[in-house]
Formats: sequence, structure tokens, C-alpha cells
Amino acid sequence: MQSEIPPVLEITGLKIGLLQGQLVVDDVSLSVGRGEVVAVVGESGSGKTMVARSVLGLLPPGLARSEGIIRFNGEAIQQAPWKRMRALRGGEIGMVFQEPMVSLNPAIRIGKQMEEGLAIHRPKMGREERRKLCADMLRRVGIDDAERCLMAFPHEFSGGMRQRMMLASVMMLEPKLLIADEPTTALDSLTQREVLDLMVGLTREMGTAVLLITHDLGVVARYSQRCVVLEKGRLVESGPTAQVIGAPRELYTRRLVEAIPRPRPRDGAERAGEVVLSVEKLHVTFRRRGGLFQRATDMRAVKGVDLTVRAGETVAVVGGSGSGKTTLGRAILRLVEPSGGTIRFKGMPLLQAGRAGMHSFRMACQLISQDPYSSLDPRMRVGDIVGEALRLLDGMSASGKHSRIEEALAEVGLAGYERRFPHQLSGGQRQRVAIARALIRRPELVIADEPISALDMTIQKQILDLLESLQRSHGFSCLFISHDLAAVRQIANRVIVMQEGRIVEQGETEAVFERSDHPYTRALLEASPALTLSRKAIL
Amino acid sequence: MGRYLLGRLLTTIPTLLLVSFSVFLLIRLVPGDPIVLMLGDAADEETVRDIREAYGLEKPFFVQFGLWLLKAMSGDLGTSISNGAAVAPLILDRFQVSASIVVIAIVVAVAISVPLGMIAAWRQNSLTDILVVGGATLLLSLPSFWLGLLLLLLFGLKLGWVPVVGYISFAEDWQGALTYILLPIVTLILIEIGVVTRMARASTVEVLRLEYITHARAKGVSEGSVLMRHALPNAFAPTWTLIGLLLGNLLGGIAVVETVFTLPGLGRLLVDAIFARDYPIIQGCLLFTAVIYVIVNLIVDLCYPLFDPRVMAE
Repeated sequence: MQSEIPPVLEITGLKIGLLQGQLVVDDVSLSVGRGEVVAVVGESGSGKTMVARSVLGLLPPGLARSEGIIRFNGEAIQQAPWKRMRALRGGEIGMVFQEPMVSLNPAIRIGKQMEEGLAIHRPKMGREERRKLCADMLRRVGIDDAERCLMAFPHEFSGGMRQRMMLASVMMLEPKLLIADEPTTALDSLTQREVLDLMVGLTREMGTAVLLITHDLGVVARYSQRCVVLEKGRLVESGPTAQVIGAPRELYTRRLVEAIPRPRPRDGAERAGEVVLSVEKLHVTFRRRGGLFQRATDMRAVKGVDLTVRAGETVAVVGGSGSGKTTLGRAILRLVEPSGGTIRFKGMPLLQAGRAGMHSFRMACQLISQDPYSSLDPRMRVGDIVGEALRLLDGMSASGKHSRIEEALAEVGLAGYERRFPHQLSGGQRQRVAIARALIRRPELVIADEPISALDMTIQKQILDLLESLQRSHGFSCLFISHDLAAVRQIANRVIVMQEGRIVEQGETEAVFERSDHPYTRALLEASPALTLSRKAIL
Repeated sequence: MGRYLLGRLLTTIPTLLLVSFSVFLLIRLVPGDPIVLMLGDAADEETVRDIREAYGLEKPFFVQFGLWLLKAMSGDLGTSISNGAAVAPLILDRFQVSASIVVIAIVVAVAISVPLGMIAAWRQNSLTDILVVGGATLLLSLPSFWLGLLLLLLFGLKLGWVPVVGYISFAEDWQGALTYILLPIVTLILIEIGVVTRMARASTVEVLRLEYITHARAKGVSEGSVLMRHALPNAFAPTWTLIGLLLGNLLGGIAVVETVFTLPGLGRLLVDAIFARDYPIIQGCLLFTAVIYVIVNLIVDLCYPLFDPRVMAE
């Protein structure tokens, strides 16, 4: 039916390889029609980002397109001359990047960065007019204080705000095609939803086609009409989204769909043990230093939180970014000093504890942190990282320690990895090392701060399953801090919902998920794309 | 901002106190009596005692330190034991010589190395890059006295383009002065180019890898603008800190270069004073160097937000 008009983007037989010849993308074809949203799905290493970057000739050094044709509105652009390519970049094809924290230049004011595109692609426009257009566009993406924003630097804004600005600066040029490379992966689920809604809304108004790169099937299901699944550089499956996700034909796609966490009722009978951790009226206040004419102000990150964790139980703390959930976890470990309240660990008041008391607490309570890339010392071998906690243990022989390290690594599925360095491991393997490190002392309480949010979907599921099975065999309690409600639903017995430093709701997981009527909890639940999908998929 | 400045200045006070105290103490622990050195072995004990009293050297250590500190705070660093000249004007005089060499050398070295380092980073792993890095490493490894001597040999003796020994001040004859300090400046430039180029290249490589550079390219920005407008301010920040450290270091002592080229600079003043056990000059020089170091780094820190506005937020 569209034989006359060529698709906005048509990629045929694309191959991208390292200069030595190894292929990163192998024979990928796809097309994006007018006004269509097409998703490219895959895990890290699937080559999806490289497909996106090759369109504008932005492959990183060392990678090059070896074969294939890329057509934009019928025009072959894979070897477009430099001048034509620069006119396409930004002017006809806009691109939004993954990390809003690093994709805006920290040294240049927002206004200047936004105007730059206009200056290149609309050279006739005057300065005043450019300025006004920028401000209008910022208001359109929901930034009210647009004038002030233009004069500000990127670091003054949160990730969600930056991604809006990025979107504004790209869409301002009314491109025919928008390439969005994991545009919201770094954001929490509430912000993710807002930004994606905004993006799809804007592109619909302007009639812009979208090539959406993502690893999140929830996002694919919600926003795209068609999707393409990539695995290790090869095209696995493609077609209308409802069909691909609703009835996946290929094994790999099925695995991806299955990896979406689903509500699974937990057997609640095994717990109700003694209280391991109790927190009462906990306050944490950060002092913000004032400038010359500003007074020092207090930022109250946690305001009067009460909670208890019983033996063997998993309690999840959920909330958007800035809700104080991470600070809460750190305050319980006394990594940040609380400004008020009490924390008791098995009856011992922690805030009054001396060196010896804190020492025994630190032995019994461990942290698993979010970023598996920075939480492991790159100069230590895996065995040393995991075994470090044993050094403080006196009554243990060297061979005893060694076999304990082997055992701990075997438990997380990394037997024989002692001599490796962290950089030789994948993100999921590093997080396994972090888990082994936390569990080697047989702690009674584990605080897991967003342990899976930096990982791919299928890896997320593996890590969650691992945590669950280890908990079953070792019986530790877990405080699971996360913004990922689907994961929480799988792993937690009870849920605590935080907003702006306060607990707004808490209760049994199923009760909160099924019957919550608190507006903030509802908003969080709505924003969780994976859950919507699973409901859709069941239908 | 004002409070920050005040805070920074106040924190330098303990540093300066500690520096002057250790200098005061250490120099007195070195064997050798300045009066004996001045008068020679033949002097009788009476004369030695009189002169020692005249310089206040017979008083207890802490009293000496206290008296010196009080005077130093009003800018009076005492008089030299060996020739009786006032220390403060002497230091300032010698400092002018060192500073004119160091400042010119650093400015030129930065003007050459930052673009060089950025181009090397932009063309990473190409022949240009390898040549730049190789050259920088070579320059970095050369000892300054050796390089200075070779330059003297070639341009001073063989070619006879510049005078080999001596110094005239700028005030007397600036063209003449230039011929005297040209070789020391070139020596310093060559040495510093090595350090600064490597730093500029390393930080540009880091920056060019970042997403906002790709984003700038995706907007259709030309390669020149990508380097100048997007990469330069971000890549220059670490180099700027390095320049501060270098400047502080060099202003305090380029004794080796000054000795090779027989320039009356601060570094040589200090070295000569140490041989003569001329306590007031040694103390004055080191205190002055510490103050310069602190001031230079304060200025560098204050300018830092120009390149990286995130710093102001903290």
C-alpha cells in the first residue's frame, strides 16, 4: 500500500565489524515508516546501539560498516559526503542518548547547547528568535522556568529534567526521524514513563518516525508498533509488537519475555521470626553549605521513618529517585550518620554502640550496592575481593579461608574465578561477586541497594533468583531497596513505599500491589511497564 | 564566594606556620656555624660571641623563632648574616629574574602543548599521535641541566648567537635581557612541554569518549567546533590544575637551570645561602616560596569553575 512513498528509514543487510574483521552486527535489516515507532530490542552486546549509531555515521573508533545499505527517505546515506551527513545530523535525523547525566556538555549553558543546533541548521534565524524558540520548546516539554533554565548549567538538574531538555533540543529542529538510544534506562520508573510519554507525544504531533533502542520489553510493548529483536548482532525475530511479544516464535525472544518479573505469590508461612532490625523515628539531615548571600540550609532526606525486619524476611523499600530510600539504607549501616531516632540490631542500640558494638554489627550486616562496575576494586582479584572480609577473622586457618572462598564463589555460580580481575567479568558476574562478598561472613542482614538496576533484563532475573535461593539456604534477612516494582513483587514479603523521605504506605507485598489506594503507590504501579505487559501478555 | 575565599586563606595560615617552623628548626640542625664561616677560623672567640649576640643567635630557639615570626609578619625578614643586606628586597629582586623566566616559559609551553595534546587525542593511535606521545616522553625524560648545557654548547659556543654567561635586567636593556634569558626559557619550555602535552592528551582522550561529544556530532556540529567548543573547556580543567602545580613548583626553584646559565635567580640565592649557613636568607626564601605556592594554587582553584561550572555547586 505504500509502494509510492519510501519508508523514512530503511536498513538492508547491515554488517558492522571490528577493523580486524569480527562482526558486531551481522546482516540486520529493518525499516521505519512515516510516523511509526519501531523498537530494536536486545541485551547489551546485541549490537542494537551500533545499528542506531551507524545511521548517522557515529560508530565509535575501531568499528566500521562493512556491508549494507542505509536509506533515508529513499536516499542512500551510508556513504553520504561529509557535508550532506552534517546536514542530516540533527537537521533531518535527531538522536537522543542514554545517559542524560553525560550527554549534555557540563561546561556549556543549556541555552547555548540548544541554540547550537539551530545555528547550524537554521542559519537565517536571528539570535532573538532562536532564544525564543528554545524557551518555547522547553515549556513544551514541561519546564516552566524556561528563561532561567536557558542560563543554567546541566548539573543543576536531575536526570529526568536533563532528558527533557535533550528531547527539547533535538525535537526543536523537527527532524523526520528520531533515533532514541535507551532514552530512559538511567531514570526511575516514574520519570521514565513521563519522559517516554512526552517523547511519543511530541513525535506524533510533528509526524516524526522513531527508532527506539531499548532492552526493556515493557517499554517496547507500551510504545512501539513494530519491533526487531537482536541477539549477538543477528536479527532473531521481527514483526508487529503485539505478535512478537504476545506469541514469540524464537527461543531467544521467549527467554526475554520470560525474564520479565511476574507476580509470584510467596509462601509466607516460613517467616515471622524474631525482629532482627528495628528502626524508630529515624531522621537524616544533610547540611547544604550556603553561598555568599545564601544561608546554609538543611536538606532532610529521611524524616521519621519506622520499620522492622524479621529473621529470614525480605522487606522492600520502594520509591522514585529522591525519595530517600538509598539514604535510609546507608543510615541503617551508619555509612551516613542519622541526625535522630533509634536503630536497634537484635536489640542492640546502634547509634550508641561503641567500636566493639559497631564491629560486631558490621560483621553481621552486609551491603550489596547498585553499581557492579565501581563497587569492586579493579586491582584486586576476585578471590581477594570475596575473601577480604575473612581477614578480620582470627580463628580461621589459611586453607579454611581458601575453601570458604571457593565455596562462596561456587554458591553464586562462579567456581574457579578466584584469579580473575573484575574487568574480565560481565556486569552480571560482577554483581555475583558482590553477592559472594556480602554473604561469605554469613550475615544476618543484607541491605541490597538497587542490586539489579544496572543489569540487563535476563541477567536481572538470574540475580534475583540467585538472591532468593541463597536466602532460602542461608536464612538471612534482606532489606531490598529498589525502584523496580516488578522485582520487588517477586522477592519481597513486605513493601515500604517512600516519598520525599517519609513512609507513605507499608504492608504485605500482595496487599500493597493489589489493593493500595495511596495515590503515590498507584502512580508508581502505573509507571511500571513490565507489570502492564505481563497483564497484557496474560490476556 | 567571599566566604570560600576567606576560608581558603585562613587554612593556609597553619601550613605557612608549620613550614617556617620546620625550616627554622632544620637549618639549625645542620652542622656549621654561620659566624665562624663568615669570620674564618682565625677569629678569636670574643669577636665571634659579639657578632653572634648582634644577630640574636645566642637566644633560646623559641625566642629566636618568635622574634623572627613577629618581624616576618610585618614584611621584615631580617638582614643577611654574610653581607648584611636586607633579606626581603633581595628576595623580591631575585624573584623577578626567576618569575620572568618561569612565567614566559609556562605560557609558551601551554600554548604549544594543549593544541598538540588535543590533536594527538583526536587522531588517537595514528602516526601523529605516536610521534607526539613519543616526543613528549623524550622531552619529559631529559634532565634540565643536560639539555641546558647542550643548548649552551650549540647556540652559545658553536654558533655564538647568545651570550654564554651573565644577566642584564629588563629595566636596563630589554633586548639585551632577552638574549640572556632566551636559552633558560627554551630549556624550561622543552621540559614542560613533555608534561603538559601528555596531560592534555590524556584528558582529551577521556572527554572525547563521552556521550556529549557524540551528541554534539549528532547535532551536525563540525569537527573543529567539537574540539574547540565541546572538548576544550572540559579537557582543559585537569591541565589547568597541573599548570598551577607546575607554576608553584618552578617559581620556588629553578636552581638547576639558574646554575647552568649563571642567572641571579631565587633558586641560586637559596643554594648559595645554604652553603653560607645564612639563616635569614634561607628562612626568607622558603617562607616566600611557600606563600607563592599557596597564592598560585588559590588563583588556579578560583579560576577552575570557568572550565568546570560543576565545581561551584559544591
